[in-house]
Amino acid sequence: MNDDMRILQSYLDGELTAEQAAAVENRLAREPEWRRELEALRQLWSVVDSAPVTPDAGSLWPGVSAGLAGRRRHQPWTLTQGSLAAAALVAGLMLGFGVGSLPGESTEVAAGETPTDYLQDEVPTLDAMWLQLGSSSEDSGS
Amino acid sequence: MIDDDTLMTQTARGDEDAFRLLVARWEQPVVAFLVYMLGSIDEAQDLAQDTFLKVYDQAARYEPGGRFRSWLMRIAGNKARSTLRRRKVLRWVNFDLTSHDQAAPGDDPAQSLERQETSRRVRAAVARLPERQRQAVVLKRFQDFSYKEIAEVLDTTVPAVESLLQRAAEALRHELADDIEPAQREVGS
Repeated sequence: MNDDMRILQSYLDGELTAEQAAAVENRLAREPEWRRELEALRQLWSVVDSAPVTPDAGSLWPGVSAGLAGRRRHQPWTLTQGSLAAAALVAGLMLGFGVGSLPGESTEVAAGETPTDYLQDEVPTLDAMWLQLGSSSEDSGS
Repeated sequence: MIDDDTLMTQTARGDEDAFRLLVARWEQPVVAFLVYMLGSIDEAQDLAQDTFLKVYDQAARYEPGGRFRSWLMRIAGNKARSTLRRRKVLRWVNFDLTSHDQAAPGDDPAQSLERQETSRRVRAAVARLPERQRQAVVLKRFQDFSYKEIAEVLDTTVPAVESLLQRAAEALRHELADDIEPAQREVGS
């Protein structure tokens, strides 16, 4: 029965291929129980759909913009292209005068490096998401 | 209309106007999603703001591919989950949005009251769903996400999403039996 419900739910949501949908329609034509089940699902979602939350959020931009400005104020060492270029120029001059880095010491700065105070919960890239898609099949959070 | 991927590319270059357009485009869906997850408009707005700041921070890491809204809702969902964990209330949330039910033009007071009462019961039933079932239902019913997109948001598979929605349907049918029973009786007769 659970599998039947799952199939009917996918059918209602338009998630089946044309071939799968045709198979469901054949079965619906033959089995009144399936028709009842489909109609019950339709009714359920129609009731649920009738109660959307449409909060009048107003614009979030003033708060977001203030957040960006606040973080800029608290990130005096953020590396911009300009500051990187200036640093490279100074480093070049120092090397020119024989003031180099210690042997084996790296002077590289990763592009896009930022202070990490705001990056508490890492968001995986979409590619990482795709890689993980096949590994979890259970509703572990519930 | 400039697509989301282009706006994200511009945002990654530090273009705040592009980012502002993205916020304007997506703030309503994100807040609505978070209201359903948290049950509080104020908290949802705060977290939506955090979500967009996170988007800005992570813009350089975003890989364009037409999947911005899944990525966005995944960030919002992660933030909602962290908040719920802090509250130690993963199973359900309080839900008080009665004041947001507006009477439809032409509704008589009795109809309006009944509609509000149904909405309240539906929201309460959705709010009592386990967190991941609730996310799947909200993304499907109110944001019109495909199963694949929901799987991306929840970091799971399409069959797992089918299972979440099927279990949610069972729970909601039980919870909302009084609201759907008349229709079922007609079909069954």
